[in-house]
Amino acid sequence: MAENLGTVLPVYVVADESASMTPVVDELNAGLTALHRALLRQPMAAAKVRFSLLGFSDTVEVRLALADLRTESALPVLSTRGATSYGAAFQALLEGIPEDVGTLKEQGYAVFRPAVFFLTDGQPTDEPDWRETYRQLVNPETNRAAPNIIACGVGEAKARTVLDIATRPEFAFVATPGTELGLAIAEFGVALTRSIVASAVSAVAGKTELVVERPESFVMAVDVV
Amino acid sequence: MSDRLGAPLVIGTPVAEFEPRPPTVRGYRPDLAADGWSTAGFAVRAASVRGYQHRHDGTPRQDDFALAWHPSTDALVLAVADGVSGADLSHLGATLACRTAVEQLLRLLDGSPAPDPDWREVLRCAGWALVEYAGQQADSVNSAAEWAERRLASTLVAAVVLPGPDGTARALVARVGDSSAWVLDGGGWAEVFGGGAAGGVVTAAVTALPRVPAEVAGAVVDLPAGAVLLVGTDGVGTALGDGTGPVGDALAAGLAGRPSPVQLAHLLDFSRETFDDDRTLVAVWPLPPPEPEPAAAVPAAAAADPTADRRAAAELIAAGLSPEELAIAGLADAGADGGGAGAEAEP
Repeated sequence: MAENLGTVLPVYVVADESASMTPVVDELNAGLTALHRALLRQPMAAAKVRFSLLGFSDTVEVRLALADLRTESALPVLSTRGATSYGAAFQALLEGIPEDVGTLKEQGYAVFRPAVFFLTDGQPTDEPDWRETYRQLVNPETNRAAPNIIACGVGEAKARTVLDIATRPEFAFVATPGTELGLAIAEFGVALTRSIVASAVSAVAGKTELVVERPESFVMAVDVV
Repeated sequence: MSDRLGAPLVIGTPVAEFEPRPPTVRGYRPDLAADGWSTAGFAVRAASVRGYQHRHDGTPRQDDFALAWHPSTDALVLAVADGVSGADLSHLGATLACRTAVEQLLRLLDGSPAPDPDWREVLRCAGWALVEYAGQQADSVNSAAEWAERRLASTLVAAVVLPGPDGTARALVARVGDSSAWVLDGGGWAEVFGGGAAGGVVTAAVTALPRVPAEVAGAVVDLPAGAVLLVGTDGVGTALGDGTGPVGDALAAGLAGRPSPVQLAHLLDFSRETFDDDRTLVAVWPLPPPEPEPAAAVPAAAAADPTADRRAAAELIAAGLSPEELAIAGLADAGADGGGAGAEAEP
C-alpha cells in the first residue's frame, strides 16, 4: 500500500469552446487566471486540489490534467471551434474521472467526490444523445466516482438544460437576463475559486462534501424556470 | 525529539510557512493546550494543537480534551472532542462536551469501582450540555437544540481507564462521530473502533453532538503491560491512517520516551502537506507496580516515593490508625488525597 498522503479534491472545469463562445472566451480565460491567483493565496487549500481543464466542442481537448496549481506558472488558454457536443464532454469525464481517481489512489491519496464545473453558452447540438452518457456519469451505482456537477449557463443557455446537467438544483446557475456576458463569466470565475477553496476547507474538517457560493448577478436556475 | 521546539517536526512535504492569524470569533481559545501527570496506576499526557488551516484562516482550535483522576479507584477519566468546522462556536461545544462527559463518568465511579457505563446516557448528557448552553443564547427555548446543532456541534470520544494487575489496565471507550482510540503496543497500532470503509470516494458526513446515535456501542479494551492507550481526533487519525506510514512511526517514536506535555504538543504539531486539521491526542501509560518496598519500618526510605507513601498511608488508615498515629509514622500529609507534597514531611 502506498504511503498515506491525505485526501484531495479533483476539480474539473469543463468549458464550452463552440464558435459562439468567441466573444467571451477572453474573459473566461481571464477568469481562470484570477482563479489561479486566488488559489495560490490559499496554500493549504491548493495543496488539496487537483485541477483539470477540458475544452469541448465536437471533440474534447484536455488542456490540463490533475495539476497541482501551485506548480503551474499559468493556466492553459481556451480557444473556440466547432459545434456543442455535450456527449463528447460527458464521455471524456466518464472515462477520465475513474482513471484519475485510480491514479491518485495509487499515489497514496484518498479522494473526495470529484467536482465538475460545467460552463456552456448554448444548447447542445447532440440532443438527446448526450443524456444517456450523462446518466452513466452521474449514477453512483455504476460509477463509484460519480462527480458533483455544478452547471453554469451564460448567454443563450436555457435554464431547463442547465438544471438537467447540475446534479442538484442548487448547483445550477444561469446568468440573469440583461447581465453582460463577460461580467457573468468573470463572476463565475470568482464563484468557482470560492467553491474550490470552500470545498477544500470543508474537506479538511471532513464535514461536508461540497459548498457552492452564488455570485450576485447569477440567480438560481430554479428561480428562472 | 527535535532540539528546536520552535520549528515543527516535518514529515514528508511540509505545509506552507506563515504566521498564524488570531481567531476572529468570541470565546478565548489558545492555540494549544497541554496537560499531564501520573498516579500510582497511570501516567497520562495530553495535547491539543490548532491546525494549520485554522491558523491560516483565523479560526480557533475547535478540538479540546479533559482529564481527571478518580482517587478512590485510581481510575483515569478522559474525553476528546472535535468541534464541527461548520459550527462557528464549536470550540465551545467541544469544551462543554468533554467536561460534561468527564464529570458524568466520575460520578459513575463514585457509585461503583467497576462501572458499566450506560454510554448512550453519558453521551446524551454531553449533548444536553450543548443544548443547555444554547438555551441561554437562543431566542426561545424551543430552538435551543437547533441552535446547538448549528453552532456548537462536536464529536466526542470518552474513556474510563481502570488499573489492572501487573501493569495492565482495562479501558471502557465510547464515541459519537469520527474521533477515535488506538492501542500502541510494541510499535504496532490497533484502532479500537475498527477501520473505515474501503474503496470508492471519501464520504465526509459525520455524526456530532447534540445528536447521539440510536445505539451506542461502547468498546472494552484490555491493555497488556507496556501498551499505551491513545484517544484522539480525526486530525490525528487521518494522518495516522493504519499506522504503518511515517506518521505512525514518528508518533510511536515520540511516545516511546513518554514525552512531557510540551513535547507531546510539539510532536502533534508536525508539518505534513494536506494534513492541516486540529490535532488532539491523549496518551495513557498503565504503570507497572513499584519495586517491593524496603522494610516498612523505615519511613524516610518510603518518603522518597510519594505514590508508595499514599498506598502505605491508605493501608494504615484501613488498619484503623488515627491521623496522629500517621504523623508518628511520618505519613500524615501523604495520607491526604492528592497531597504529593506531603512526602516531604519529616518524621
